[in-house]
Amino acid sequence: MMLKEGLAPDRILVGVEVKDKWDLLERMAALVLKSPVLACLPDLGPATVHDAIIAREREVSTAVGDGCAFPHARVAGLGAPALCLAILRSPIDFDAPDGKPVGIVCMVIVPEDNPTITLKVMAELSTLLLSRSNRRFFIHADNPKRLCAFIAEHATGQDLPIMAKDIMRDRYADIHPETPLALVTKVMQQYRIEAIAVIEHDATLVGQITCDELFQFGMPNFFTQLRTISFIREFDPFERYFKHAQNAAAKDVMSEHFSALAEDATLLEVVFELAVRRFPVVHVLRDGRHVGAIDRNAVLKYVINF
Amino acid sequence: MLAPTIIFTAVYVLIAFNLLDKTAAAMLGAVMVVGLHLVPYKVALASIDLNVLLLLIGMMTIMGILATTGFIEWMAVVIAQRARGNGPVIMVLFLFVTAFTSAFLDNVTTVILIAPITILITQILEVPTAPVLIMEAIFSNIGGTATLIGDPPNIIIGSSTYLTFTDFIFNLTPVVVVIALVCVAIFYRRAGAMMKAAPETRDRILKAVPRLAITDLGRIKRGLPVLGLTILGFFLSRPLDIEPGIIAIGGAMIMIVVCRIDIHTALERIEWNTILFFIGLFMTISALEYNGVFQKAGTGILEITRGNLFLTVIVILWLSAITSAIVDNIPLVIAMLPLIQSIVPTFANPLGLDPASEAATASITEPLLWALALGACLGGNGTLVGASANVVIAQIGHRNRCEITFWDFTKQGLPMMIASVAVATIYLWLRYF
Repeated sequence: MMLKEGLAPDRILVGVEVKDKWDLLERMAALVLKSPVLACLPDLGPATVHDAIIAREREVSTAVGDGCAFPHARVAGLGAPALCLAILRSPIDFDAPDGKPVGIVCMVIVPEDNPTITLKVMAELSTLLLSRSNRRFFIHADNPKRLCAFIAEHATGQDLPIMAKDIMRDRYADIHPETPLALVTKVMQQYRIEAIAVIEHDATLVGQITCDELFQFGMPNFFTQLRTISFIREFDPFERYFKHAQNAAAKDVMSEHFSALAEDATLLEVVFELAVRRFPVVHVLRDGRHVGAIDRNAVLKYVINF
Repeated sequence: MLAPTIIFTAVYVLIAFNLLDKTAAAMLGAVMVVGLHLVPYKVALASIDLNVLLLLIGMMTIMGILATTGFIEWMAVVIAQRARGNGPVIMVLFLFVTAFTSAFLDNVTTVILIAPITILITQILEVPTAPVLIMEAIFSNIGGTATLIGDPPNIIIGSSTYLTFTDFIFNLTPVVVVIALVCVAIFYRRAGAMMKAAPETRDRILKAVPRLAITDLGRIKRGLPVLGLTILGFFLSRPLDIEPGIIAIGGAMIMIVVCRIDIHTALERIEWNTILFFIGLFMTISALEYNGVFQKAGTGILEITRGNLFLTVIVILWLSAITSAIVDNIPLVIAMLPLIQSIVPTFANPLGLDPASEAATASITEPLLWALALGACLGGNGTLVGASANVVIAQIGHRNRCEITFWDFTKQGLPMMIASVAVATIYLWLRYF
C-alpha cells in the first residue's frame, strides 16, 4: 500500500551513478520534494528535508543489510508518507551492518507523529525483494515507469504488520562460548552494544553477555551492598579485580536468561520483551538459528513518539 | 505420640540436611499435624507465639530502614580511621561492633550489613578477608546471645517465659562479654600477624571521608532516636507490663511515620519466609506438646542425669550446643522449652517448692533456661551449618571470590565454640550453684 501510493515515476531513479552515499542522499532529497504531499506544505523549505535526512544518516547508517538502505526523516504537518527510490548502477558503501554495498535505496519521509510508517515501507519493500526474480528486476531496471508499474503490480498492497525481522540488525560478530572475553568486550565496545549473543557454530543461540554481566564478573559483589563508595578517596583496585577475567571466555560470563523471538514476531511482542520484561535486547531467530538482534534504541527510533 | 514425633523428626531432617527449603518444611509439618488431627486446630493456632513474630517483624523493619542510610559504613570508616589504619586493631573493633549490633539485631541481618564494608576495608588494607568474615559470623552469634532480641532462641525463650529484656542483660550479657574477650584473644593470637597492613595501605584509610558514607542524614537523625526509644522500651517492658513484640512493632510503625517511609517499601524488607518458618514450627511442635512427647523426653534426660540439677543444666548446655552446631537451633529451642518446663517439678517437689513459685523459678527454671540459651546460641559457631549467619557469610564470601569452606569455618569456629561453652559452663556453675 505504502509503496504503491507513495511512489511515482518522477521519484524513481534507475541506473544511478554517484560518488558516495552523501552524493546520493543530496540527489534523492531534492527529488523527494516533488512528492505532492511535500509540495503542498507551504512552509517547507528544501533544506528542511535535506538537513533532516543528512542528520539522521550521520547518527547511524540507515542501511539494513542485504544491499538495501532506507534513509528517512520525520516532517511536521505531513499527511502521508513521501517516497523516493534509487537503483544504483554500481552498489556503494553505506556502512551497512553486514558490510555489503548498497544498490537499492528507498528514501522515506514520514509524518512526525507516525514514525512506524518507515517500518511498514521497509517491510513492504523487503517482502517484495524476497523473491529473487523481483530483486533481479529491481537491480536491472532501466525505466522508472516500468519499475513503478512493476511495484504497483507486485507489491503486496497490504498494510503489513511490522515484524521483528524488519527492525532487527544483523549479528555484528560470531561470539562462541570459547571466544575470549577480551574479544567479546572489544566487539561490544566497538559497536557500542548493550548485549551480545553467544552462539554455537551452527548459530544456535546458547547465551547472552550484557554489559551488566561483564561489570559483575569483574567487580566483587559486595559493592552492590554498599549505599555509596564516595567516602573512599584513594583506592584503585580495578586491575586486581579484572585480572581474573584475562583468561576468561564467553561461557564464563554468559547468561542463559535472554529473550529470543522468531523473525516473524510482531512489533508488540518485541516491545513487550524490551519494555515490560526489561531485556536489553531481543534476539531474532530464523529456523531456530540466530540471525540478528533488536535493541531498545530500535524501538526508540521506530516506535516511541513523543 | 509416634506420629507427631515422626513428622517433627522428618521436618528436622529436611531442614538440617537442606533437603527442602526450611520454611516449606516447617509449614508442611504444620499442615500435616493439623490435617491428620494430631493436634486440634485451635491448640495449634494458640501455639503461634505472636510476640515472637511481632518482635521479629518490628526489628526487621527498624533495622531495614536504618540500613539504607549508610550509618554502618560511616561507623566502620570512623573506627578504621580512629585505629589509624592498624589492621589487627580495626578487625578486633569490627568484631566488637558486630557483636554489639547483633545484640539488638538479627544475626543474619548483622552480617549482611557489616560484611560488605569489611570486605572493602580488608581489600584496601590488603589483608586476608576470609578469617575476618568467619569471625564476624562467630561474633554475630556471640553478640546475639547477650540480649532477649539478639538471637531467635532468646526471643523464643523470652516470649515463652516470664523472663524480660533486663533479665537477659543481667544474666547473659556478663558471660557474653567474657566469651567475646576470650574469642578475640584466640583470634588475635592466631591471625593478628596476618592482619598487619603496609603503611601505604594505611594511608588510604586515613584519606577516607566518613561523612560521605552517610546517604540520608535526615533519616539517621529521625530514626536513631526511635531506635533508642525502642531499646529503652525493652528495658522497661516489665515495669510497663508491655510485651517486647508490642514495643518492637510500635517502634517500627513510629519509625515508618517519623522517617516518612512508604509502608510498602518498609514491609518489603521483612523476611516473610522467616516469619512463616516460625509459624510452621510453632504449629508442628504444638503437636508434640499436645501428645505428651516432652514429658517422656524429659523423663529420659532425668534418667541420664539421675535427677542432679547441675548435671542436668550442663547436659542441656552441651547437648544444645552440640545439636546447634549441626542443625538449626530454632526448632531445637522451640522443642526444648516445654521439655524444660516438664522437668522443673522433678527438682522442685523434693525441695518442697511449688514449681511455679519464685524460689523454684530462680533456683531451678532459670539455670536450665540460661543453659538452653547459651548452648543454642553459642553452639551455632561450631560448624559452617550451625547458624544461618555462618551460611550467609560463606555465601557472601563466595560471591566475592573469597571462598569459605565447611572446614575453613570449622577450623576457626569449633575452638571458639568449645571455648565459649566451656566459659558458659564455668559461669553457670559459679553463678547458680
